[in-house]
Amino acid sequence: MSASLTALAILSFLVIGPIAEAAGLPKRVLVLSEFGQNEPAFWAVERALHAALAEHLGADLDYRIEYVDNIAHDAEYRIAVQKLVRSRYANRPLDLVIPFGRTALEMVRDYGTDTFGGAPVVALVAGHNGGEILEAWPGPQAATGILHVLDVKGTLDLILALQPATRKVVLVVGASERDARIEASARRQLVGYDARVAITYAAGLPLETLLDESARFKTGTAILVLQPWYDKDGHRMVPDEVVTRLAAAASVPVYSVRASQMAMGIVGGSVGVEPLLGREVAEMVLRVLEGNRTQHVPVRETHSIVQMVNWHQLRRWGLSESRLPPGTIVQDRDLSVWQLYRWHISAALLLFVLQALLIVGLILERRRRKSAEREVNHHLETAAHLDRRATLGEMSAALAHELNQPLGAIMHNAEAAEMAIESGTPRLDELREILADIRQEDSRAGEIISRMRTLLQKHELDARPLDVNDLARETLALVVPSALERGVCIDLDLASGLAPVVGDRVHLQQVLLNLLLNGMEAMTTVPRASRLLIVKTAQYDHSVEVSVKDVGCGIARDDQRHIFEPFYTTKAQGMGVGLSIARSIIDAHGGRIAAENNSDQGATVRFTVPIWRAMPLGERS
Amino acid sequence: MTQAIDVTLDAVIYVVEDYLPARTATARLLRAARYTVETYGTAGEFLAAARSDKPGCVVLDVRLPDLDGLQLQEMLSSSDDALPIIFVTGYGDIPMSVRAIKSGAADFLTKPFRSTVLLGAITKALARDAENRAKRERQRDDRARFDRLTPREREVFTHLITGQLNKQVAFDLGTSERTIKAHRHNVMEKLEAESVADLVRLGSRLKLDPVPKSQGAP
Repeated sequence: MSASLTALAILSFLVIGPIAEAAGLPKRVLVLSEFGQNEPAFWAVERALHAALAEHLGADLDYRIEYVDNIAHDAEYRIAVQKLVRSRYANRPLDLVIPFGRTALEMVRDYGTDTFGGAPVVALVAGHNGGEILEAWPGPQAATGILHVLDVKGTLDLILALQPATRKVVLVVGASERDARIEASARRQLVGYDARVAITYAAGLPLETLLDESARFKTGTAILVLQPWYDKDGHRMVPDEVVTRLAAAASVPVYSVRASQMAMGIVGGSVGVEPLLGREVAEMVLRVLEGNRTQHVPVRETHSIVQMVNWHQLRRWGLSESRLPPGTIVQDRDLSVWQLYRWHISAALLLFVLQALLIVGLILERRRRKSAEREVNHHLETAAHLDRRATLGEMSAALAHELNQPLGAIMHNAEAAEMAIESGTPRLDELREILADIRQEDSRAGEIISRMRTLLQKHELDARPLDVNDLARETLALVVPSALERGVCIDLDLASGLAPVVGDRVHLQQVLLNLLLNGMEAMTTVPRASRLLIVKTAQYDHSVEVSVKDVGCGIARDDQRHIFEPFYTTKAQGMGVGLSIARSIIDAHGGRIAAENNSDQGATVRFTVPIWRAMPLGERS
Repeated sequence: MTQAIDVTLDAVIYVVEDYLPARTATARLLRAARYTVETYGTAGEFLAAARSDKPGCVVLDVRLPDLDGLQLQEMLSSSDDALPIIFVTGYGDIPMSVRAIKSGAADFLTKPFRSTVLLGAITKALARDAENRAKRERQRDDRARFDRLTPREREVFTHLITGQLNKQVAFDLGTSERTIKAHRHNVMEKLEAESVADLVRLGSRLKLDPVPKSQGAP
């Protein structure tokens, strides 16, 4: 049920209020119901009544129920019922009797006090007749009750509001005496509607006929089922069955007056809500049990009639919700995604907006950082370039020697060839040999020059996959002259099968060059014969490490923390930028650089460069 | 130049150079100039090799893997029959070249140099070698002649080269002038000298100290 009904139920509970615990025996309450198994709607009323009473009285409630037939009114039956009630409740008088339905009410009235004792009566009866019976209650039993009228008028109003083009309304009623009372009540309620719409009473039509006809109804027709009990052939009609089958078969919308039938295919109606009826009765019962005289608890009409429609049926018939009278309850609505998840959606939207803002912020931040990085890289490139030039300047004498070697050899070879030719009997094979040597020496000189030129040029950081062992060998070639000059022996300990790293050849060469020259410098105080530099490469999970180990003076404890800082130098003629630039270069590569003293003698400086994993080259720049 | 080559056709040039292409090229050049060439990669190899006593010179790279060129020069010059050394170097290191020349290097060449420079240096070095050899030859010759003198004649010789007259020598040695005259004749003949001046020159070549004037016999 919808939230509105729950609210009503709670409201009625508040009206009832807690009841004072009565001392002594539990209250014996008898429900005398004429609604049996064919009226499931009243089970809901009865369940609600029982629940409400039990809720308030708890153990102080002795709740009984007896069913009576509302058709067989012969004397024999009456006597049997009388006997039954008497025998069952003789030992203890009843505190209250609740007749459900007109027949039950008449029985209570007619059997009188000798059957039901002097117990007060709270009835639930249909329509105006029930009201008349209660009005004319003979006493000494006090009697009050709730009048429940099938709200035909309210339902027709709803039909006309929903379907303004309705020209014809077919009211389905039964043919029994009781059905006749319902029809009469309907006719009374619909006085004056004939002008607006044609009203037909399909009174006592057998169900099959009804179904056949309803399937052929034209648009502009509506069907209203009014709890038919018997058809004109005297066959029992089960209202729920009639409603269900009609709603399925009819070519036009079907309405009814019972809330319990809402889920049976009807569009809706001004319906009596059974659980509320039950609570209404319970409320009245409790008031009477509390000791209020029945005169002070007047008979009244039920408040439990609600205009209600089924959302799915509205859609089935293409009826607009906007035409519903104010206060109509729309049942079984498929809530829209928005209605169902309003808060989730709002929260998600908010998150989305926040995230978008965050992303924009991060993009801007990233752009700023990129530009800052570019600037840093630019500075680094400049600094690195200056450092390379200075380094090469230091190495120039050795490099000049390195260059003069092949140049001298070339000259002598050329002149030897000239002399051989001048001698008049040149040996061709010798000349060929000479020329081959000249070419080889020339390319050697070219290599030296291009190595130097590469290092001397200003160079942008450009990361590419490269082999660290190649890098080590190339760098070594550059420092061999300096090593010879200083009498330093260099050992290469290169790991085989190294994965390529991602890096900039020139800048990494510069780092290694710097470490090699520093290592040599550190060994000036060591005897020439033991000056040894070990260059080692090793592979780890994500990086390749290059280490340069010397046997020199090591790093003083005070210097250890600072050697990678700019302008920190331990050399007499150093700028103190070499290692800081080396660190900047390694940082820019996403690697690490560190220095430590060896356990025996000298120091080891090692750096790592990440392994290339086929990631986009642009990633880094 | 042709004359020098002709004169020293059987001269041997020892090239000591660790850089193989340079060694080959230099050897090639010198062979084209019709020298006999022997090459060595290290100072050790050069020192260990058995060398003939032929005229020649050494072309030595200053920087060698095992021994400094200057150290090698020192070791070589200590021997009596030292060969002239031409230093070559990849870069002009002035203090080093001064040191080398001071300790008797024949020349100091900075790479890269023209063949004429090297060949010129070799010609000079070979001339120097020849000169050294001639000097050594003459010294051996002088010594052989000097060795023919009797002890008394040597005494007379040392007095004569001071420029003393026979009379003074006789007085110093406590003998007659006539005896001195006879000794003097024998000395002149044995030493193949024609005049006292020849004797003085021989004495200086043999590095004999003249006896101080107006002194008695030792």
